[in-house]
Amino acid sequence: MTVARMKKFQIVGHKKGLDQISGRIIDSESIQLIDYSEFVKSGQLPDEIESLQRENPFSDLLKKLEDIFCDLDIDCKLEKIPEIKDVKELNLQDIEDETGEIKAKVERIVDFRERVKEEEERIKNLIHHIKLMKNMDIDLDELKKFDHISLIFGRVENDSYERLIKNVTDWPVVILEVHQEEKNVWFFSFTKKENEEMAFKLLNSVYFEKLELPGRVRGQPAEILQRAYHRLERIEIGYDEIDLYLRKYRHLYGEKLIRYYQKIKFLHRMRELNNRFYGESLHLFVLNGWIPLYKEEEFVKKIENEFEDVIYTSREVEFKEEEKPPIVLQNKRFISPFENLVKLYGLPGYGEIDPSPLLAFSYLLMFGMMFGDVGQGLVFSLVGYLISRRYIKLLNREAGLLLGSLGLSSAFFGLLYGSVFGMEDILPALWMRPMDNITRLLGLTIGVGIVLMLIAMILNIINSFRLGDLESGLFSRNGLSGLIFYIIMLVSVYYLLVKGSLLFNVWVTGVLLLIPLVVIYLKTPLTNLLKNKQQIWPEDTGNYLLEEAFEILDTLISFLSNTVSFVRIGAFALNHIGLFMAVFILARMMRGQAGGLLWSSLIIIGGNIIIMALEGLVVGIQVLRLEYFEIFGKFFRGKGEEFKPVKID
Amino acid sequence: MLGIVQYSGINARVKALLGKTLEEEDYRNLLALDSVQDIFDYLYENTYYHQSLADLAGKEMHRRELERTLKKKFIDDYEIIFHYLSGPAGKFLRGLFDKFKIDDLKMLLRTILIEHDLDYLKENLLYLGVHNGINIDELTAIRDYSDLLSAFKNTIFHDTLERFEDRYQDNKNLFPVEMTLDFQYFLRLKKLADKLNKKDFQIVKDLLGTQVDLLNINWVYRIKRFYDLSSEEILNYTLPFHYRLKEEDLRSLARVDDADEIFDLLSGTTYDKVFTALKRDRSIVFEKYFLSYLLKKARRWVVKGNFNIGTIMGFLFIKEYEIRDIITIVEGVRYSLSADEIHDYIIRYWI
Repeated sequence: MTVARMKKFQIVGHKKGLDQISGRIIDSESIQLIDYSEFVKSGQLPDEIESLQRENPFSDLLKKLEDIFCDLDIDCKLEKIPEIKDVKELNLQDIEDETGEIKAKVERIVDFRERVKEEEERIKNLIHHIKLMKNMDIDLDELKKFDHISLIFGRVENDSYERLIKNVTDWPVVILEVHQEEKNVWFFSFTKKENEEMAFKLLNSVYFEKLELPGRVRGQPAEILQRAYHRLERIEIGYDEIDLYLRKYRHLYGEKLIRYYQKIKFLHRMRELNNRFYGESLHLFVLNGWIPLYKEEEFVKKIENEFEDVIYTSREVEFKEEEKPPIVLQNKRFISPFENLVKLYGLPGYGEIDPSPLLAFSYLLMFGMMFGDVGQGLVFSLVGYLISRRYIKLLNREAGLLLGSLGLSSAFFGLLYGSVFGMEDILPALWMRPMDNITRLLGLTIGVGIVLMLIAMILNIINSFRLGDLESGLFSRNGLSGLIFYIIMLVSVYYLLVKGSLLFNVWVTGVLLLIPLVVIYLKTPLTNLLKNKQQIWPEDTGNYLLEEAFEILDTLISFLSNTVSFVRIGAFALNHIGLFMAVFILARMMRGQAGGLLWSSLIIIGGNIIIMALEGLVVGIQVLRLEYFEIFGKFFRGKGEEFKPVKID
Repeated sequence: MLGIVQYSGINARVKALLGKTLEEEDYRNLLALDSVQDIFDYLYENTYYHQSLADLAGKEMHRRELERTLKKKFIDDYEIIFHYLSGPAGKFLRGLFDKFKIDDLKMLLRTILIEHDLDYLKENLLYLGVHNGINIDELTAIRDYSDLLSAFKNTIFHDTLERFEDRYQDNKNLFPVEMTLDFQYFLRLKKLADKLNKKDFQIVKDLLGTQVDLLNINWVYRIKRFYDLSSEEILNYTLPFHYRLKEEDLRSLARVDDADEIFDLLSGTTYDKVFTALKRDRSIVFEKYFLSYLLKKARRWVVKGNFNIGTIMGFLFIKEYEIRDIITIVEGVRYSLSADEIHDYIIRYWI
């Protein structure tokens, strides 16, 4: 139930085994390393140890290889860790030379492609501008000859153009739109020569881009266009040739380069790990990290078998310690999909109880009770199964499993309620039919709620003691005092309702209820007293007492409201049947009409789908709400940090 | 219905964050302090910044480092919201966050292209790396405009940066790029806001609409008071959105001869309140008046924000201004202003 116990370990060894150790650590997939700089802060270091900084001669080479891969369109990742001896015998100089040569060859082609591309852009631009001009009925050459009128040709963003037109009203400037595209507007602006400066100022305020009129447009646009298109065709052929070359290179060098890459990438990553995590003295290295207790034995055995001169030490981290290790949740396979719902709220802190099993159990229980239907439940499980097997590419595997198990729970309760696709006359109810036992159902759901709340409070007490939080464990409303208060309250109410009188007389009951409330009221001073602190009362005592008084009021209300909150389980179970009643009534109404059988079947099928989608969603959320607010809120602190094992990439 | 599903979780979180923000008493205490170190200690010991500041505890405090830490905390808060909120509202808030990225980008442009102060940059670039695929180290390696373009290749800023490349090379003027980045920001936000549901849209419109109105008035006022531009140019520089201040109203503001006439024209409008005090003080720091008006609005939406975006929006404004106020106090102390003088610059103290 608790999050996995963690050990903080230290490895000291001879430097020659360093990369092998790193390799094993990555292999194990269950170790998070501690940054050397963090480790230094803890101050437990002998002086002669320093951060290990090895030069990383591989980054340039790696970059080169990646560049080539990018140019040649090769997809490459480091999948498995190469054997150390393969890497040891690497002749770096040879690889560098060879890679350099290949890169030069590839680059020549790529550069050429760039130049071709530039030419292509230029020509396309030219074609574009000439086309713009072609759309106008005005002879451009005439325009350029004006003596008293200044002509500005330019381009501006669409939005800016709108503003320009809207605001230009008062000025002696004429704007003439030539062409409009998705993002830009091309325009001419005319104004008198003496107003030219003013026009520029105005155009500048919308950041226009002045364009020169294409010079040769006067000639014969059609002829220019034809020549340009011809060149574009030639460029296309050029591209094909370039592509051929690149493919040839890929074929010639691809495999070899990938082989180099695997090794270089590994070495590079090793250096990264060295420089970030390792410390060193003259001959030795030192390394710190976290490992879950249950993985330790396997790892240590491997290390000890393989390396003679390596010392592995570790210590288990106690729950109460200041230092908090990262969190690993350790649950049975069928519970793990529910971990995601826990993570949505937060990760448990170290030493806290992992609420996943409780969540899994209570979620399934409540969902089933609220949405009990054999048919729809099985549909859910089927869809969940298909998602988890990736036949349906929706969400992810885990979500599929979640849906699948919820469906099974729903089907189980469907059997108990005797309900198949909302039809209550096919199966016998193994337990009861909700509609015939409304009071019993609602009472029962409150019972479920009470049990869950009691569990939550007990968990809070356990958590608090583990973490050494006396105030929360003993005196808070979710601690022991709250628990006692709640139980006395429950017993009293039970006797009053069932037996018609209180278990004890009014006064005794009153006193019994008052005691835990007073304890809650005085929780801070009581804690201080228990811890032998100098100052018992908080500094601002008046304020504290006032605040706590409200807190007590809030406690009373929230106990009541939390308990009643669970009635919704029963309410939704009824609601489920109610919705079906509506569907069946509609279906029956259609039966008398022409084609009635078809229509009524369609309504029943459609109604089922709608109810599954809508109510399934709503119930799912309602249960989550109950989990988070009524249950988690009582004991779950959710401040843990995620465990991030070292990986190759 | 959807609002309830979508917002119940995140609003609870945001309300918790809101509950921790600094209170009146904190500001009073902060104002009474007289060194940057004391301010740091106060924040460390008495406020929710404790954890964020823990790494710096015990070291000699530097103003910028403190600033950076406060902002980092703000990013963390944003990340929580991003984590919980998807759909149109999530997209909108991501768009809203671009504002800080643009601030970073402007700083980047200025420091890299003009001042070449790399250390300053390394210390101060914070937001650009968030959800961008941009590596901050790569940014500090930028040497010229073409590096800049390749670093921002797959971002929303690329088009604008590219558009101005040639013109920047010609005249080394960053003003058009910066202004266009701002324009584009508001245009994008408008598009994102249009996809919000009705209630959310109304809230966003109220807050950002007011902000845009005030920015526009701010522009016009500033230009009228310090520069000489024609009304057409002024209007071209304003944002093309209007909320309570209609387009014709802005047009007539732009046509006045003297800056003070603006106040007369605004009297009787919604924004009258903002300017009565400004008119009285004739203070140069008029931005403060706008911000504190917005802060009030933000607080109102926090209260009204059930199952809608109001709480989140309100929180983001409140938090942004809190950081700003703390920085103001730190800077005030650094330049040895008296508590009363600093008080005048604090956004939360309304006129």
